[in-house]
Amino acid sequence: MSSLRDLKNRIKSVRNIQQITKAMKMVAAARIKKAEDQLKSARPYANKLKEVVFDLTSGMDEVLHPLMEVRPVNNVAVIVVSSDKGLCGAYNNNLLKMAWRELQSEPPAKLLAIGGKVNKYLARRAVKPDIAKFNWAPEFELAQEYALLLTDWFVSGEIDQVVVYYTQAVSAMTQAPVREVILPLEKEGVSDEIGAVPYTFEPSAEKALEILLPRYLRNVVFKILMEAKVAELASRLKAMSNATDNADKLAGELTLEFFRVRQEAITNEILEISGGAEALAASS
Amino acid sequence: MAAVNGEIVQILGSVVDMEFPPGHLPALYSAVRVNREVFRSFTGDDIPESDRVLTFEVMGELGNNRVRCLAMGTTDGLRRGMPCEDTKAPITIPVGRETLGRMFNVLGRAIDGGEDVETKERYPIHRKAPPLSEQTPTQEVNETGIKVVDLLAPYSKGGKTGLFGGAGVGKTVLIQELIHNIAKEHGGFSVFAGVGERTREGNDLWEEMKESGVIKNTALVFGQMDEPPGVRFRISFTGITMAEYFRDVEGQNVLLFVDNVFRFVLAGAEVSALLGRMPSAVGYQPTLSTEMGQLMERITSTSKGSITAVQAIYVPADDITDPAVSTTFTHLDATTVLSRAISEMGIYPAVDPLASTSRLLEPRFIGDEHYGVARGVQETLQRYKDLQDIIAILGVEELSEDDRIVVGRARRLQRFLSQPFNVAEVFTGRPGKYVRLTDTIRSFKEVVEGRLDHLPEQAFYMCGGIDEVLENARKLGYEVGA
Repeated sequence: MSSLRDLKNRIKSVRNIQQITKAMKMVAAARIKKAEDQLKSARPYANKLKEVVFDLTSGMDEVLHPLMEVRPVNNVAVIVVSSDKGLCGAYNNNLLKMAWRELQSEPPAKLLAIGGKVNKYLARRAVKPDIAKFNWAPEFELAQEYALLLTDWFVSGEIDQVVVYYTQAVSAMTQAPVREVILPLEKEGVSDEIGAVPYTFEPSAEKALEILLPRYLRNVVFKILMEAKVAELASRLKAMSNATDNADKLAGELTLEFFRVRQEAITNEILEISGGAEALAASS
Repeated sequence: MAAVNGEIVQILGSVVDMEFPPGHLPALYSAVRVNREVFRSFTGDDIPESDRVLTFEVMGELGNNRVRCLAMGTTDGLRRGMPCEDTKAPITIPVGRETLGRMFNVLGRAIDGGEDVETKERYPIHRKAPPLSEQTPTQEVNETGIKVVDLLAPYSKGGKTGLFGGAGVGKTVLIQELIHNIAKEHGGFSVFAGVGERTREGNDLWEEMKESGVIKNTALVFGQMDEPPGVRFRISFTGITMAEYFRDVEGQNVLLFVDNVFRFVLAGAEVSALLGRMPSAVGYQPTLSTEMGQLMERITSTSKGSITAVQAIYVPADDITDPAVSTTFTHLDATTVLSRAISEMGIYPAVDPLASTSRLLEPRFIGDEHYGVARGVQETLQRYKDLQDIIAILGVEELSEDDRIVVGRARRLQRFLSQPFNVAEVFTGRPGKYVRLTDTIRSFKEVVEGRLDHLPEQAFYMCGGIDEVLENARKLGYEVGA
């Protein structure tokens, strides 16, 4: 049994933790709205762009653009997108566990670590990423930067494949870590109906793709960043909401215990005083 | 010289006042006898002939030639004016080899259905503690075969050990396992004192000892919970006196088991107010630490022989700060604390690894390796305990990677501290395990150094040594390695 002072201290510390988790929860709730809107408004453009790209290329058999070239995979670039801060439940843990399996078995040629958590994780395991990014936000400029970099590497033949590990926001309650291959560009997920009509290019198909494909890649990266952010915020909202409830429960239990111990102490004192008084009265 | 008789003047339950002729007051602690002529108890049954004589012990003088006495039996059938005979000596009990294999009550009468034991010598139950100059503390570890005890709170040969625990956390099972493990290997004489515990347990122990053959080297004394407070108050002294004979006269290393010292305190509290003492803290007798001192100081090792004592102590309401409990703590060389929280996890023996300790837990007594491993185990478990609130609120995911490893290791350690008992085999269905100290140290070293972090937690549960953990893990389909 703990003493009154111990209990008081514990209740206080639980309440303090609760204040933090509550604040984190509110911040996440406010931000997730914005992030979701951003993702939602980006989706139609991304989907349309994808359709157009594959619509155009579907009729052609030969590789018209270097970004579409499928080579035997020797060198892989891996991008891992984690959060910068903790207090978001199993978000980073699940993702990193999944990514680490591949990183460990097949060390990538290039490694991009986006987010504080993944960098810390790698540092512990003495792995130095080629690019380390801290304090990131899903911004277009960032996506642009990475897209250009990846294009350079891929076209020059330094890497043959780009794999991204990030967390998808399936719903407000579920976030799932996924592994996605973004380069070479693949047709996957585009319905068969498109591409039925053969296009005529002016001046040429190559020229059109040269403009379209980099845009498309940039957009893919951008979407991944946004997805990851939404998932992070959703995960945090969930984790912090749980933590606040847990803290409430724990503080409640401790408070009850506190009352019980206090009452016991009071009863004991009354007993001792009245017992003593009785004994003194009897002896005098 | 014909005995000068006094007479009963007041009866207050177990406490009876007697008046003697001037100049013939009995001395303190001497035994006074009353022969009851009315043969009916309060239930209407006849009191058997042998129980007609009731023995009292003089507890205090009241003035006016009166003494206040404590009854060593029920006071049914007493009347004022009954004659009391001063025996001019304290209660004496038979001591010697004849007591082995037998069972006694507080007065040294046989209660196993056999004839009373006649011995060359009878000792008074009140004796002086050995003087300081004769006491010889030993620093040798007494292996018990119980992992958690040997590792974290090693018992010393000739030392005093306490098992603390609330209701139903396994004190008696642990003490019985200790009897099973130590008394059998020990080979020397043992004395078991049952103080205010369940009569059934006394019977079980008696039967089990007969079966295992330990009985021929053991003397048992019982003053169980069906007895009046006077008996429960003095029965520990009866047990100690028997052990003292073997120590002082035969120069043996005697094992003394007492279950349960708290009942001794409780009996003292029951009669304290009747004896006219003002209750002290939490309603206990004001003489609590004096009484405890009188009892504990006699359990000690001398240059002639030693008494290795294992005592169970009930912890009322799981409150370790209770005066009865904290008074006992100070007398002991090693304390094993059983905790409700751990028994609720299903881990038996439910020893609290952080609250249990021993005077021997120092590198100069147990060696650097044992000390290092024991401290390592405690550190890991302490860290886990510190993190418990955070885990409860935020979940284990929010811990740093280092802390998560510590938590995993601590959970494995917790499970590995459990052990199947021989005496509990009928309950658990698992055969008991005796683990040698060297095995214990080696096993825990592996765990605490993190070499087994990859094995599943349940593989560590209810095991003997580390080899069994590996065996379990293999059965569960885990890669164990060489």
